[in-house]
Amino acid sequence: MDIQKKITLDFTPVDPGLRDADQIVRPSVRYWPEVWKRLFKNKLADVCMGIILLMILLAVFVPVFSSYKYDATDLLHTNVKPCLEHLFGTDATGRDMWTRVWVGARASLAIGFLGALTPFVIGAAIGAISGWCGGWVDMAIMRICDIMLCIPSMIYMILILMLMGGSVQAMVVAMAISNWMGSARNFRGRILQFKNREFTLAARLQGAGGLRIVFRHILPNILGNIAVSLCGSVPGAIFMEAGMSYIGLGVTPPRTSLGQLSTAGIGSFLLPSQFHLFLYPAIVISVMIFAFFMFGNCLRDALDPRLRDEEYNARRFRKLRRQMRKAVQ
Amino acid sequence: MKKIKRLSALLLCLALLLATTACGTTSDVRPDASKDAGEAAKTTAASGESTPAEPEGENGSSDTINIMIPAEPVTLNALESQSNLDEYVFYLTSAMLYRSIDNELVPELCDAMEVSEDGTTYTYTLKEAKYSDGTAVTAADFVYYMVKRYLTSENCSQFVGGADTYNGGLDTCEGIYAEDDKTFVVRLAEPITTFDGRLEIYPVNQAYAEGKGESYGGTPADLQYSGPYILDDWTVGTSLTLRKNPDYISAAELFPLEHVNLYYSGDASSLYSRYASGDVDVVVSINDTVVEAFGEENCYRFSSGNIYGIEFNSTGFTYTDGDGFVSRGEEVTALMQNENFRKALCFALDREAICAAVSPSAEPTNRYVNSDIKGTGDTSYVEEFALSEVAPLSGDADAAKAYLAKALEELGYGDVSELPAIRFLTFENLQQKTMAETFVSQWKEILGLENIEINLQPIQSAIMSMVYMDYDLYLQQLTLNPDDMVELLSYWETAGSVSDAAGFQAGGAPAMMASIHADAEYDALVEGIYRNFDDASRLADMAKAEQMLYSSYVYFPIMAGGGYGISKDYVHDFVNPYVEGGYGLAHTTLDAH
Amino acid sequence: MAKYICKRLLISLATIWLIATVCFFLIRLLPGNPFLVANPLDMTNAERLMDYYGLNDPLWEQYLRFMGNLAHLDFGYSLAHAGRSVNEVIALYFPVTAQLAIQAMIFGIPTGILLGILSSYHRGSGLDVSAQMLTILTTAIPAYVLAAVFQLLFSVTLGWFPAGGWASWKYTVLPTLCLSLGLVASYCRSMRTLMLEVGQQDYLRTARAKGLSDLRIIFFHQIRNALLPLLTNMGVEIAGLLMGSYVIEKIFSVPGLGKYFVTSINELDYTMALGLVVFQACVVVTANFIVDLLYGVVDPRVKLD
Repeated sequence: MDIQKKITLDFTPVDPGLRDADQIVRPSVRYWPEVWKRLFKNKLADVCMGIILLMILLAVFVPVFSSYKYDATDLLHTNVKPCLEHLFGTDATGRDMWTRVWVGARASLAIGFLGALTPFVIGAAIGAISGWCGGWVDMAIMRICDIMLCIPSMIYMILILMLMGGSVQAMVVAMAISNWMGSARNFRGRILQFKNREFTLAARLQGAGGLRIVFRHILPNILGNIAVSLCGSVPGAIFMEAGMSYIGLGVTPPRTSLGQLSTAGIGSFLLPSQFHLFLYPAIVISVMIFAFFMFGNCLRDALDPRLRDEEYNARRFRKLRRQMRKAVQ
Repeated sequence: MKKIKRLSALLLCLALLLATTACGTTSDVRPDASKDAGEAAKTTAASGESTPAEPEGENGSSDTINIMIPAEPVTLNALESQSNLDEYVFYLTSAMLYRSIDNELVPELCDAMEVSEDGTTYTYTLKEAKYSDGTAVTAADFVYYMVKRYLTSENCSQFVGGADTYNGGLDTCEGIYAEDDKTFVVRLAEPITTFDGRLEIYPVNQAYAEGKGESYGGTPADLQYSGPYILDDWTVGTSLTLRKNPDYISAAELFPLEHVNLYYSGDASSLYSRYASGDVDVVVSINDTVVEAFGEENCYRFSSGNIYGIEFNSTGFTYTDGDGFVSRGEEVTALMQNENFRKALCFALDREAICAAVSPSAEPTNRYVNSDIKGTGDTSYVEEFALSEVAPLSGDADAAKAYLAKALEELGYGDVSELPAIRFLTFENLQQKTMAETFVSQWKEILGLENIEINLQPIQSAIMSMVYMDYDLYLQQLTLNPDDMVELLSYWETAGSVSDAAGFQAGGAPAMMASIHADAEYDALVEGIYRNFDDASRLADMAKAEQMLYSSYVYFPIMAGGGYGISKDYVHDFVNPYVEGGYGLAHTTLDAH
Repeated sequence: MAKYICKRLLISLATIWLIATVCFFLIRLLPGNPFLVANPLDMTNAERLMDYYGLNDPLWEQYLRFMGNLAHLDFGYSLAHAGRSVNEVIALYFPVTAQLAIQAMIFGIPTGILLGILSSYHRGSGLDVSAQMLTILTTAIPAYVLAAVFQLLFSVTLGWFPAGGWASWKYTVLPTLCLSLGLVASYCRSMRTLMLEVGQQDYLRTARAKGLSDLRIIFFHQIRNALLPLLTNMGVEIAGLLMGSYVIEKIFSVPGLGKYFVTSINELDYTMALGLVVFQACVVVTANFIVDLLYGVVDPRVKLD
């Protein structure tokens, strides 16, 4: 008997596709290009990015090209309902809401971006130091956090306003001073969580320094979570400005912000003749927040290296599950 | 795998079930509610009656009134109170020497007063009355209240022989004293027209107040009650609960209601929800912006007794704690002192349109008085004495431009763009902010002024900036006396309150240096009005002073503030506190509802 | 353990003292005079009151006095509201805030966590999508709009719950709901993310390979590990909730502590603001302490020392 035949009888040949299973088939890709690729592939992320870009464009260009000035009152055309001339109508003193909303969006976008990012970066750096170093450094930083958390932010806000005047920069500085603690605590917690993980230990054994471990090994692991909470704190910053302007600490008039417009519009919520004053700023601010929020989710999915093969996308996941079920049956 | 699936499926079913039942009830209830809006209110009232333990159990009974008040009292310590909101409550909790009933001052704790022949000594004989804890009300209680409340150089000097007698360490004013337990005397340095003896003051027992120390007036338990009602509970931020005082001196019929609940809500839309859902019977003050929700035709309008206007810092100085008076800069000073520039700003504003847009309850005005003050005959003062050269209420853009051109010429500017930056101080309050924005925008549009910037500050620092005159323009709100305008005029005396809010003169600063309106002739005229008892010539002098003040354009009035109130139709004879000076519950009755 | 607790206690006291000191000096930097109110325009009266309350004394003297009073927990009387003692305000109105906060937490946190677990498990299902929508809606719609809608719906139209006030449990329903929706959303979101993250870990794969049941894996491996990072922020969050919400209290006329944090600083009511800050510091420090202890219980890798 041919030896070849005997083997065929005793063993079934392996599927040729699995022959190289123990080799690394997937091409080695660098981290960031892969992130971008995955991000752009996600349709929801594209839509959100589109919305954010569109809003930025509108905020930059509408006030420039509008035939109305955002602060020019027109006492003959007050409370005009939305029409072709005034897309969002006019307010009680006849100012064009379309222009005002986009002027407000400028301030809100700036405050939303910078007011969320600045305290976040500061907090992340401090939190990382605290979590990585541990010991008395950690103790000291956490106690400073406790102290700062307990001092009402209104005190800094008023002081900064006195020093810098009510501008976007002042609001960002105030937010940086009063909001870094949350992100520092969060970051420290995550660092602690990964500090004693096996891969960290392995890296340390190979002689990696603290900075390298934090940035190269721990950071990619928690970037997803960070992206979500960062995008989640954008609305927080926007509303904080609105809340502060409520007691006279926001962007100074006649400049305005979406937060201020929507807060002022609350009174119009019950009134048929002025409902547009409530509706449009609220819609714009809600869409803006929605876009930031969903974008954060998509970014999380794109950033997480462990998700490379896993499909987070809801529809494809369902499809996958259906296929699995069929296969089981 | 199966287990968890079943579990979550169960949970999902439960949630779905809950959701559908919730939807079911919603759709069941809605048509009823939409059929008859009142029915929802009725059902709550009915369900309330079945459980009388809860406060809404009192809903619907005709001896309880639920009132939504515009803001809470600041303190119930009458000696340190600085707010009208406190007075509105004292009106209910304390007996008064004279009480305003249906806007008419009638004696309450005294029978009548005797006035000495020279018109300086007022003697009140008190009635027998006692506080709810049994202590008798004596003349000393009024002395204590008056002295503690008014012990400042300015106020005390009206009652004793001139300001010289006042000395910082003094505990009593010699002109206010108790002859015996039942005789209370007020002696003036000289008769003045603004004092007619009908004092709306409250008795405060010295031993009690001092016994309570710092806690006096903090909670309902730290207060003595002599008025028509006793405060049972004050839940700060929510409500004040009052019940009838059996020991109240006047007839029980005067204040017929047994229970009074004052509710507070800081939010305009919840104000509407609480009224519409039947929680409250009366809303004292409705924000202009939401009046449409209540239906303007259902509300009544009242005058709040304030005028809003723009004040110019024509002194050219700012006070600082370290360096005393500091110049605001030559250019700015010259501009603010230029009468034509001030006139231009005044004439440019269309007050009628601004009022309609910003504050529909307010009335545009270019006078310093409301229309209630009587003239010599049947006509009102405002009609009888017209001012000349006033800016029309609807503004006059051409005149404004002409004045501005004149000002520029006088100051040597070629164009408005060369003018120095000036700061317009205001504080955060949606209405004030909108007003300031509107003014600045109108000035920009009509006069082309781009140099006015709004300086918006939190309220306490705004007041500080105002007192220290750290502004060029200020949106000033002044309280009017509904019967007389001389107090308002005296603000603008050289050493008057407006010019001397920070007490600069008392601190030894040169008076002329920091006075917004320094005019010796005007001072003499106003002082004369205080002492002129002849109605006709007094009013004529007043008109003359008003004209002088107006023509100087240091403060030009824009609107007389107002407000809206609403009551359910089963409430009778409730008088708004802005009119009565207290929650006007005298003779108030409720039909069963 | 006893040593650890003693050490933490000392550090907590030092923290509270530092907070009180920093606040004492910071708040005096704010411009304005607490006794100047817009109406009477009377600086003389304000000066008299400044003298009376010793606010014109040298700052260090006032600081020593404040520390002396703090030592026997006497926060003094409010400057803006004569007769109102700070201790009494805390004693009367902290329970109200605490009740609302606890109700909101009891409802909000477990609901949020459960929803997060379910939606991570049924990733991509209708439940997941609706949970995601809920979290987005509650973040994108400001609290005051939601509160106004609730009032119109539940009080005016349906007449189920009162629109505002504070008397019985009925009055707590709407404010609790408003407060807890935010909690539900944020916990659902975080829990979902964390569950997915933990789901990728090797030890879960090992557990699955061992043939453990799904239920066991989720409850004993996945949830326990996912809860850890949530705990870090919970202390501060609970402390924040216990300090009340200005907006919710104002809209529903709830007599809580929250509004005092804003108004006391706005009115420059030094004693009230400082008293509240110190009280808040105590609550935050205690909450952090408890959370740190819990951390040790939940995660044996974290050593307390």
